[in-house]
Amino acid sequence: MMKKVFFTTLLLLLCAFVTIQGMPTSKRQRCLCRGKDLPSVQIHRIAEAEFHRPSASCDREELIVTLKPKGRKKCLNVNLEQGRIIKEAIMKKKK
Amino acid sequence: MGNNMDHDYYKQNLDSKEISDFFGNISSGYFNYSDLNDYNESEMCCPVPPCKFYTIQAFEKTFLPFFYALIFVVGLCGNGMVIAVLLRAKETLPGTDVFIFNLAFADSLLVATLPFWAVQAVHSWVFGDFLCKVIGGIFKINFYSSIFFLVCISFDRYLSIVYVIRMYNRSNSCWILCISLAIWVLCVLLTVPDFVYLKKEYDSRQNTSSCSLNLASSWKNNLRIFNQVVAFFLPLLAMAYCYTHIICTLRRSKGFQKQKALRVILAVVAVFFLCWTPYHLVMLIDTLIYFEILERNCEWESKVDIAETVTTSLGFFHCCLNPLLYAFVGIKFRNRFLELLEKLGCVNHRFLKKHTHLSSRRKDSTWSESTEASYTGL
Repeated sequence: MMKKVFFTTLLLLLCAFVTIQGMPTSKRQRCLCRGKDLPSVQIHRIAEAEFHRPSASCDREELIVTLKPKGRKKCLNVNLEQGRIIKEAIMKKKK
Repeated sequence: MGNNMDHDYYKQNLDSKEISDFFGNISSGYFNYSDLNDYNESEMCCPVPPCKFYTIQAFEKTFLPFFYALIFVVGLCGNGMVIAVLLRAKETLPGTDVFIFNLAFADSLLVATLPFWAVQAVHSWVFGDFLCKVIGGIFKINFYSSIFFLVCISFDRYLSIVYVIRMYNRSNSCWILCISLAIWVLCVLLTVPDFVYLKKEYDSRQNTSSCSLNLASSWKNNLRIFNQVVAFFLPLLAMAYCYTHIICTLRRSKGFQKQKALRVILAVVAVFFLCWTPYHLVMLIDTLIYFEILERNCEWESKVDIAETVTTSLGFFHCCLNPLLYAFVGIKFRNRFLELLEKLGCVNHRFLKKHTHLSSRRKDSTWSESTEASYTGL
C-alpha cells in the first residue's frame, strides 16, 4: 500500500518535471516589435534597416528601420512587399 | 525555420544608400512606388517604437554577479559541510540522511554552475557550445533532483512519523539507495533534450550570445500554465500533505521536543513557499502577457523581466537554506559537525564537550529510541 502511494507520487512528479522550464537557459519571449507594424515607409526616409531572424528570444522575423531625420526606429512588416524586398536585399548583401 | 541557414547570419544592416541603390535597381513595373509613398507616418495607427533591452541587461549586469556570487559561496560552504559530515559517518545512514546527502550534493552542483550564468550576464556566453551543453545540463539535472529529494525527505518523514515505518532498517536502506539512484537516472534522462538542444546562440535583438535552448518556442509556451502548476504546486502540495499529517500526529503525541519539531516543519514549508512563490507569481504575469490578457508594453515588460531575474535568484537562494533547514537543525547532525571541527582542529575539546552535553541529557528523557530516531531528522 505504502509503496503504491510512493510510486504514484513519484510518477506524478515525473510528469511535472518533464515540462518544467529551467531558468537561465530558457529565454523569455521578448520580441522587439509590439502592436502593428508599418506596412511601408517612404524609401528616401530610411537611414538604416536591420533584420532580425527568429531566435530564442523571439520566434518571428523582425525588420526595424531607422527613419530620417530624427532617427526614430519603426518596425516594418516583413510579410508585405516593401518589407520583403528590404529583407531580401539584406540577405543578398550577405552573400 | 531557417535552421539550415548559416549561423553568422543573424543580424544584417543596410544603410540608406544601399537601400536607395537597391530600390533604384528595381523596375517601376514591379514595384509601385506611388502606392507606398502615399503612406505617411502620421496617418498610421499608433506605430509603437520597438522595445529596447538596455534596462534589463544593465540590471542583470550589476545584480546577477553580486547575488550569484553570494549564493555560490554560501551554498557551496553549507552544502559542502553537510556532505563532509555525512561522509564521515561510520554507521549506515538512516533514510532521511541519505536523501539529505543527495540534496546537498544536488544543491552544491547547482550553485557551482551559477558563476557561469553570472559571466553570461556580464559578457555573453564565452565558453563555447560544449560547455553550454555540460553546464546547462548539470544545472537542469540538479535543479530537478533538488526538488525531487525535498519531496522524498518529506515523504520519508511522513512514513516514519505517521506510520512509524522505520525506513532505515537493513532491507529498507537498500530501497533508499535504489530510490536515490532512480531519481538521478531519471533526472539525467529528463535532461537529454537539453543536451541535444542547448546551444550557444547569437541573439541580434539583444546583441549578445547566450547559452539557450534552441527549440521552437510556440508549443513550449502553450504548456506554460501547466508547467507552473505541476512544477511548483505539486511539490508544494506533496510537502503540505506530508507535513500536515506529521503535525496532526505530533499534536496527539507527548514528546519532549514537540514544539521544536513543529517549528522546524513550519519553517521548512514556509521557506520553500517564500522562496519559490514570487518566481511563480512573476511567471504567471508573464504568461498573462504572453497570451495578451495583460497588455504588451515595453516598459511594463522590462519591469516583469527585472522581477523575474530577482525572483529566480531568490529561488536559487533556497539551495543555501536547505543545509540549515534539513541538516543543522538536527542535534545529531550538529554533534557530528562539532566532532568533525574538532578533528580538523577548528575547535578545542572543551568547546566540544560543552556543546554536545546538551543532547546526551536529552537521550535520558522520556524519549524512546524509535521516537527519537524519527525526530532527529526534524
